[in-house]
Amino acid sequence: MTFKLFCGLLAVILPWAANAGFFDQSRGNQEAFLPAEQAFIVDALAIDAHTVQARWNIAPGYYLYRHRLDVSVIEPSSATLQWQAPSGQPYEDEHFGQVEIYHDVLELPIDVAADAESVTLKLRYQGCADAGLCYPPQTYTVTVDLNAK
Amino acid sequence: MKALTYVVIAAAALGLGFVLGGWHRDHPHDAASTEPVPAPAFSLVDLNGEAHTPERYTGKLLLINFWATWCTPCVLEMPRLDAAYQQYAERGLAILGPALDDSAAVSAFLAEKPVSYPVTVGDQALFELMDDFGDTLGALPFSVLIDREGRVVERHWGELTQEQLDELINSYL
Repeated sequence: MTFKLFCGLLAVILPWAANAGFFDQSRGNQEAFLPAEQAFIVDALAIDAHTVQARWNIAPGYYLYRHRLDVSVIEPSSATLQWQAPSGQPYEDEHFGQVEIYHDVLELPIDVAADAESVTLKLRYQGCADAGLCYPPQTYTVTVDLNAK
Repeated sequence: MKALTYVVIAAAALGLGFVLGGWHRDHPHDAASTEPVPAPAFSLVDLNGEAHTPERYTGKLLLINFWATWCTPCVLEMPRLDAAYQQYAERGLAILGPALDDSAAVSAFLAEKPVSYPVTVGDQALFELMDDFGDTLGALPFSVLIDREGRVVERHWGELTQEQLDELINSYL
């Protein structure tokens, strides 16, 4: 009975999944693509009182541009930041030319000089799906407790 | 023996499902469209100051292609769209290219890579118009095909290949 049920479920679910485009990201249908907030999951945490680590989890089949990465401080405005985007994977973009991109995970350490217990940062990034769809520049604002670690 | 029968039945069902699924997705009528619905109202002003509304395109097949200069697949498909426009305009194909960008970037881009169809520029209002056309991703390129009766008959997310573009045009023009 269990085996029968298993076969029945497979027969229903897999063709449906194939039909929905889950096995072919090249389709231009909406269901084949993730919304930006799922394609690029971002967060930031304090490593110590002077360093914030921003991290992007990038879904398979998606990438971020190194040259579209930016970090700025919102609060306190007197805070200063130092950061450098890590080297990415060389990529020949048919429009932008030779660029660097990130797949999978991007970790960005940000040195923070602030006379405050927390800092509010604005992270800007932009990326695309390998299958030919690009997301507008995204902004993620996060307040990090510098004493949390 | 019974188990083997189940396996064979399941395999046959899977095979049929994949074949049908693949066929379904390879036909743009089914893949990127929903039931035809009346196009939402819009009023876009192009770079030459001309207004574009659905009424202007009554009786024509209108492809609205949302794009931006920061979007590589968008700029890669534009020569294809432009060639189609030049080839089929007399038969009733119209193309409109709303850019979700700033005017300076669009003007600089078009100075280098001009297209013969009208281009408009905007930001938040164009994202809202994309919503009105059924988009939930806010990503580009996003193309919408409106038939001669003013109904949205196809929606396509991502770069249009030449094959896909040809099939759309041949299906509706």
